[in-house]
Amino acid sequence: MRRIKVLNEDVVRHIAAGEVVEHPASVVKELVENALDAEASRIVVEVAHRGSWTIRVSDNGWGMSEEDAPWALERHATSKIASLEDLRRVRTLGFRGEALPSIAAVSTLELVTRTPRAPHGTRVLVRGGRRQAVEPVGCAPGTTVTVTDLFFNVPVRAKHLSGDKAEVARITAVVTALALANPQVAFRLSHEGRRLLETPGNGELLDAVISLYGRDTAEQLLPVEECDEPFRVRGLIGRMALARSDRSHQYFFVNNRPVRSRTLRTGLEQAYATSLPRGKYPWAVLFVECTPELVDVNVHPAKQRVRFTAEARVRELVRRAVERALTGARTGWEIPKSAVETPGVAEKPVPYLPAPSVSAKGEGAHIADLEPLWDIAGESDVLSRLRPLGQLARRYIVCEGPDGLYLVDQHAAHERIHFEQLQGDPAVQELLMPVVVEPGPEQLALWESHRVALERAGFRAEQFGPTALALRSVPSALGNAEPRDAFLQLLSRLREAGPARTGAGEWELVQRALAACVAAVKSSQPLSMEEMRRLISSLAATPRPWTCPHGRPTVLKLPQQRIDRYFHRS
Amino acid sequence: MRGFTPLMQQYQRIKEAHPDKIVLFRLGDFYEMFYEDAEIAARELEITLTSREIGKGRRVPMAGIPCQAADGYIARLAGRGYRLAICEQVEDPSRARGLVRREVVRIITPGTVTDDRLLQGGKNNFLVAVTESEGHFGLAATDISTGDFWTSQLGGRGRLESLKEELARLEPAECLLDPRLEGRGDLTAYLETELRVSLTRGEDWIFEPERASRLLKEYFGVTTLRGFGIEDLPAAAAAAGALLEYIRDTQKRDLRHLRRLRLHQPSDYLIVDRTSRINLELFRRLVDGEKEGTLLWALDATITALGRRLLSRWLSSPLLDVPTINARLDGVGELLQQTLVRSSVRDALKRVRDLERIAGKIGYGSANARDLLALKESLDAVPQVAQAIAACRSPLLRELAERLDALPSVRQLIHRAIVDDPPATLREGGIIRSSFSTEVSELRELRGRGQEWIAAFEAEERSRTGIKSLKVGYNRVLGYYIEVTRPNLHLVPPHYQRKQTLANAERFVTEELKNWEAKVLGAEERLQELEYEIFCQVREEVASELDKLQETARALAELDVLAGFAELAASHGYCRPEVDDGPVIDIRDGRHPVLERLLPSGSFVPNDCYLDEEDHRILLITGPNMGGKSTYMRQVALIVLMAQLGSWVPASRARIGVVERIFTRVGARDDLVGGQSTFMMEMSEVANILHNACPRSLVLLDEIGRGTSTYDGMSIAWAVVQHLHDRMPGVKVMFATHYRELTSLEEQLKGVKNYSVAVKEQKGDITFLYRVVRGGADASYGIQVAKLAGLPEEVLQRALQLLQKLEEEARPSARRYQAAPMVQLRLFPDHVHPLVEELRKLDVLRMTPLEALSKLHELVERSRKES
Repeated sequence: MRRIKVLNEDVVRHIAAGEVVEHPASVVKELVENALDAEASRIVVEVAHRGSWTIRVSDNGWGMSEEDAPWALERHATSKIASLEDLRRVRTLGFRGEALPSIAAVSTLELVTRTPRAPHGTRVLVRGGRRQAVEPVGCAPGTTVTVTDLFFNVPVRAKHLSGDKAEVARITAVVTALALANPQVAFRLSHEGRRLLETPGNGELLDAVISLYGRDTAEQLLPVEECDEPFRVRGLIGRMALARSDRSHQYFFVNNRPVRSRTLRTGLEQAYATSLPRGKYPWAVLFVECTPELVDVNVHPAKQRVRFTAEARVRELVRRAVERALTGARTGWEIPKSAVETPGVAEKPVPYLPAPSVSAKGEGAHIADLEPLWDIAGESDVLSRLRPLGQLARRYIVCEGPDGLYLVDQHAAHERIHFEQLQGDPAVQELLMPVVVEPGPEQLALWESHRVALERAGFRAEQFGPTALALRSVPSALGNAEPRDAFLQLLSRLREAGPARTGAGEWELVQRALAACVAAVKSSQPLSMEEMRRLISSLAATPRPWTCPHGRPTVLKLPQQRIDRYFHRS
Repeated sequence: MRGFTPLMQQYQRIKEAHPDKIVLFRLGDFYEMFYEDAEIAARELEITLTSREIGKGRRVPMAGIPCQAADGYIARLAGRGYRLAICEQVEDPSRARGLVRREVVRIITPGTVTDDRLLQGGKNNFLVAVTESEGHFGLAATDISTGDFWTSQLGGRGRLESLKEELARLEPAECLLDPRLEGRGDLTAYLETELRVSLTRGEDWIFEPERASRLLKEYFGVTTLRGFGIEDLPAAAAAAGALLEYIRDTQKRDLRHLRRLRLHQPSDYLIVDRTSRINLELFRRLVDGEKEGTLLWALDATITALGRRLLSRWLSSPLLDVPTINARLDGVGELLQQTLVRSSVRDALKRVRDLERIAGKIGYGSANARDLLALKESLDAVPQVAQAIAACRSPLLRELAERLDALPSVRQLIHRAIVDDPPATLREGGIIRSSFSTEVSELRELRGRGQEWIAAFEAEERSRTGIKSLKVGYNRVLGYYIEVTRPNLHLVPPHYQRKQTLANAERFVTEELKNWEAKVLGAEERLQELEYEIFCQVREEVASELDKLQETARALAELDVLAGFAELAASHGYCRPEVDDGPVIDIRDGRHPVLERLLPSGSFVPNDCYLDEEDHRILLITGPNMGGKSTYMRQVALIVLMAQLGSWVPASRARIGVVERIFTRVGARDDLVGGQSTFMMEMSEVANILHNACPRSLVLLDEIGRGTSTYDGMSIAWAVVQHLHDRMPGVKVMFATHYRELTSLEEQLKGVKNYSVAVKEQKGDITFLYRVVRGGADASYGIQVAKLAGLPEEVLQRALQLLQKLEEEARPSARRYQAAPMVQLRLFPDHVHPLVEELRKLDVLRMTPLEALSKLHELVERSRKES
């Protein structure tokens, strides 16, 4: 008996909203929703982009019979609703009967499906809306849909796609939402063979969150549960520490369908109102449940916007629930362990950190990073306009700048300044008396292999005992620093920097290490206003003042507007 | 030997005692090798071959390696399979009178390597000993890098086979063989050629059971071996004792990490014979011997080397005891459910290094400062693990939690004594923290002060002599010196003693300088000695906790494997098998654990399997080749194996009645090269199965009867099935065959059931459905498969014609097979041997003893003549 039937005209007119497949993410969403409707317990999503997008979604759900399979790709045919009445009572996610055929119209789509008891499965191949094959095939029970050559016949749409990374980020967000809504399903998402996310599918929302966000995030979550018949809300919300500057970590579900709803958002944010500064949004995964008649899912073609029959009541419910959860916990700022950074002399060279992405408009990657309060400064000629105000912790120079507050890292600045100065051969200061150093067997060997470069840098030493060295000169830049310590420090940094290189690479290594040492010497000293000014202008004079030679930022900026915002001035 | 120098005579004596080894003879700062040894070394190590005078004007080849750098060279030679004898000077050369005494202090053989470079992290390196006593074989095995030590005794009729199986299972690097076993069957050939084991022929007296038992008792400090379970097992004790003797002899020291001996009864474990181990691709791929794509690969989600080795051992000995299996399954289940616990445990395990091997080095006495630090870091992770599983409820996990000991005192000791970043060497200082020993800190200070004085001395002398360019320097030959350039020589004071003349300068020393030098160098030397002493003490203290250390290591390894199983179960959707002692194997929606991962998701077709000991004892599987018959059979065996390992299995439900032995006849690697034809190999393996399968065995037969003509093959296959059915109760069989005629066996034999791999035919093309369904195959589809393979169209057409013709003609014969009753057929015509006839005629009760004896004699004579 065929379960998939073509919808009658009436219904079609009512719901046809020009279904449009916009991105690979929409394809993924539709296919995964179909899999969920089929009551799968395991859904595997694989995506790749080689020229055009390839998407493969495989599930172990009910599958389609041999009869039904070809009709799955006919427009306006669905097993899920048959009449307007059904529309009102709809519970399943995919009811428009539009998705598969829409996708098949702009790609090569292969559907392989089998019901559990059937002896074999069916394979249907459609390309650009034209059916190419229908044949029996041996396969596992469930359904696998493979979409290749997406948008091959609508090159305009293909061109309008964002780059790989952005699309993958969108896909990830889609799958994350569906995985959160369905913790009883084990999800796996991979991109070109690399596993992006995986959930255990054991029914526990918390376990799903742990596998998506990590243990650290999970430790900052609070459970939510509240009821106002016939509405019910439950889920998890995050403490203040998880708050971000966008809403990318807010997931709302109505009857398990991912939605966007201003009502729900407002309810959530109102509960946090007094605790969160403007511009910061809480982490939340919230589920609202009610009988299907009370909510309209048909509002938007992408089926994301919903309307409730009692908007205010729902909003209140959410607000109350979240508030209760929050007051149960300690409010106020919490500093999560993982986010505590100890600035200052870093132990290892760190690759250059890119500035926080400006594009975080609700579609970033899902792994959370604490968004910094400060920006890394990088606009030219600001440096010369900085006016030092004072020194903080003998490490940072606090300055007033043209458009906000600036912090200059003494150590990083010194490193950059001295690195540039050391470009030539540094000045050497002879020691009145040789200083004896016991570097230990390994550092000794290191000295031997870098001896020439070290001499050029200003450290001249010779063997002075079976395991000792006599230091005869040091770089002038070190000033009054203790020669022995400086020398040992330099050797230490050289060792950390990795295996010895020869030639130009070696010299640069030594230079950087030396610059770091000099900076270390100078950075923990108190400075007078004059010295501060001089330091800043020396920094401004260097060709690349915004980073130290290892790539770390030298200057941080807190824009005036942000300060205003935090103080709730507009 | 006369006329040789005393040194060479000494060498000869030592070499004669070790003719089969390369002797490294200590001479000064080098290990020298002579004669052939030198030639081998020169070739293998790419060092220079020189020569040395040995008296009478004769010269012999010589090659040497510096002692300082010897380890690397030694490792290379050992890695190439050479045996080495390290011969050291055992007395202080400065105090010796005449020739310095030399002795072999260490022997290195393939089974006794401990160098990290030669050992593989994930595998044990086994040394075994084999002996025979009172009709039983004794087999002992040890890995001296970890301290594992087992022994077994094998008796009964098939004991030679069992011995071979156990040897194959262990894959030892070296075997110490009782010389009396030299001619035993093909044992030596088997060891050397097939298993590629390095054979050491031992002295027969080390295998003497009495002696061996005494040695064991003395070593372990016990009065009876009952505690080890081998009091009444002389062969097992003999093998273990001989092994111990050999170790002592080659290592010249006691291995303190070898602390316990366990009895391993092969009959306690599921036995997978070596052919099956290969055919099922448990450890190595058939195609190229690689690890990827094997069951081991599929089951390995371990994080530590300890875990990997344990998994390998578990896989080679799956369990039979239902309660133990269930304990493991429960543990895995709890780790699966508690995602947080599992991820904490696995996180912590990342910090655990190879504790077993480090413990081995400590017990051996070769651990260095870095090893101790690695030990501390590993132990630092233990509290996190213990805390994670503290709340677990399953008995096995609770037991493991108890066995974990973070050894805080050891950690503290190492932390306090050893610097954060010690060198790899032990005698060059730089190891011990100044805060740990006042003597060390004082010596360092003394040295420092001395150095400072000497440095200040330069400034002083400059001002005193007025020589502005005066320098104080140091080199190995002169020690500290004062250097004055030529133009200033006239200013040199009289008490300066000239030591060296250079082109533009001269170097001097003074009394004062030399005194201070003595202080500095003295302090340095004493410091190095002292640090070494202290380090050894620290190591000693750590060694006293070896027991607990090894116990903790073992518990961590088990946790690693179990957590790995849980991880796999979560990732791949496994279920918990119900394991019991019953007769039924019932698998629903079973999948092949390896293949399902290698194929794209959703492609692998799951299948059920039902086997019992009554009506479903023998599954006859027909259908076209490439249809999935072999995969189906293999997956059943692998699922059974996994269940008996304590792992969850790839199925929606599984009930596994414990299997004691698995046999396979799969014909994938027929030994054409070895001179045995396909058919011969096949028949040998089938014979082996028919002789050795016992109740609770699982037998997989894939295409029996292929290597000979159709009628012969089919008849043999038929007879084999019949035999298995009638004469071998309790044996479960899966038999894949292309002889469709065999399907009629279902009607005749109660326990036989037909299954086939489903195929869909459409317009002359076939699609493999990979589903196993009830009932025999309709057709062979050989031609359609050939079409898929690309055979030319005309060939296919002609084949089709011929097939149709043959089928018409052959149809009656199928019925003939059905009708033929089970008649006792003899291979040869009815013929009674004359001797038998004679025997029948004898009336023994009426014969006198003399008559009987002479008749017997006559008959024996005649029978001899006949052959």
